[in-house]
Amino acid sequence: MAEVYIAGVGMTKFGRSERSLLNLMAEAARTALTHAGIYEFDAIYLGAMNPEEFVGDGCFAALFADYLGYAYVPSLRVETGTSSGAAAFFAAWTAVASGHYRRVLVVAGEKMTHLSTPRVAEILSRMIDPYERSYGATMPALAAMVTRAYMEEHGVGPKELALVAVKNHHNGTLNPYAHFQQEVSLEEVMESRMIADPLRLYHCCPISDGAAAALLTAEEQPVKVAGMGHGTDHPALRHRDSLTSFRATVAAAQRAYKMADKRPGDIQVAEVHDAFAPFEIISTEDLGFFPPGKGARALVKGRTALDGDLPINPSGGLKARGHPVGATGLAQIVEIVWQLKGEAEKRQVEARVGLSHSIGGLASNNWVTILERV
Amino acid sequence: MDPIPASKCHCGKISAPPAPFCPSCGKPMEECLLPTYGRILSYTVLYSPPEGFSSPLSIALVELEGRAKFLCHGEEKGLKIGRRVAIERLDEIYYFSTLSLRERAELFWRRRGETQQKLKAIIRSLSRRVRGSPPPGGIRAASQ
Ligand SMILES: [Zn+2]
Repeated sequence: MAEVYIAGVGMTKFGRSERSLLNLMAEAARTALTHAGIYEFDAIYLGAMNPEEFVGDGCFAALFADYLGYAYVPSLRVETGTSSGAAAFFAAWTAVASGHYRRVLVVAGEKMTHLSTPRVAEILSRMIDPYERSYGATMPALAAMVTRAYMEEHGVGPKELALVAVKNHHNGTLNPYAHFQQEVSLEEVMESRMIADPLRLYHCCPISDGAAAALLTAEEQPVKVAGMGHGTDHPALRHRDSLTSFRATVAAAQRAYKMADKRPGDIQVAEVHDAFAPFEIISTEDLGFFPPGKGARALVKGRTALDGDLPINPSGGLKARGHPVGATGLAQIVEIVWQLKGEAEKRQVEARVGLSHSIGGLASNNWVTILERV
Repeated sequence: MDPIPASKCHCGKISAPPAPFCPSCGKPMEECLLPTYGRILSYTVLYSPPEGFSSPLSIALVELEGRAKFLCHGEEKGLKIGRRVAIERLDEIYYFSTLSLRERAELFWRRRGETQQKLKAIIRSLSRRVRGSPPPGGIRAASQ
């Protein structure tokens, strides 16, 4: 397979927006094209979780291509739930790596804030196993059960979980694209409203609008895709072998490391899917950065802070940057590209190799992407 | 309590409720029944449950005997990882409850390789002996 490079990236500010999803995605795409200085490409690969229900539009890739002024460029949509942005990136990468296309525009987005929270929760819960859903299981409920089991197994307390939110909110203050750009204190997190015991409001990422884009090309550029892996698991929690580790992350990471010929120790910065604060801790273990049960300790010691030896979520993560579901997997990749190219401004870390990790559903459809400065 | 309908595969996987194909290996599954005892693997109390459920909603993931896992509702006060619970069905919904003394005793005998029937027979024969009129079969059942 041929090498694939990222020629340009772009994203909108995440948060509440009055603009349409098409308009947000077009802004991200135009920014990526300008960043690349390339305005001609062979195809558009679009990631969105559920525009049918969130905004009431279907056959969305064609609507978008037309809106962007590229109706004659073949377009298709890729979906793996909340990791759809990474899935679209993967599909585009295979198309370029195989030589089928030379340049592909990847764009991903979601518009959610115009709906009520219960309605958004209902749409998100479509990803849950139907039987478990029939018992009232929501995404926070299943995440809470994973969290409870993790705390029990590894002796981790509520303070450690809260520190993820404190760290990521701090990083968010340095990111002009973040939904939340203010600090939260440990007390604020630990005293926030209980959502699904032991998860409180500030352990959960917000509902956001936003879009991200990247232009992939076979022509040499400063940043290349070193490896990518896809891992899956039973959507039903009751069929899983482990509650405290996500098989889908472990499988995706193994494939990505193998393809990139890298080890966890080679990664210098990572964007990790912290839809719920404890997921960041669990994922840093599943990605091989820390041994099982030791992720919280690394966090407490500051190893994953912006000035630590392995900064995790310099963007603020899903917690502070926000989580327009379909956009997130690609926004993480955009952040890593900025970090590798030295374009991350106030939150810049020193890195030549970076990783992004995206969770689809309740970790039933995950992606790991490793990028490298050439 | 009625046993819980489930399905099992030659690979050892058990699914409750029953599934046509094994979630682990993809082969067709056979129907089976599971005992109504288990232990809590994890749980949550949901304060913003979906429409149609009242708040707070307690949900537990229970491991049934035979290692099948199962999601059910229950009371907030009995929630603890590792706690043994009994599962009951009410209007097609499964609920867990903390085991009563009698249920613990039954479970103890079953786990010792005895049958539930045997324990019941002992209790029956003992109570009849106390009343002074051991019926035919009572003592025999207890010594089988
Ligand atoms: Zn099987």
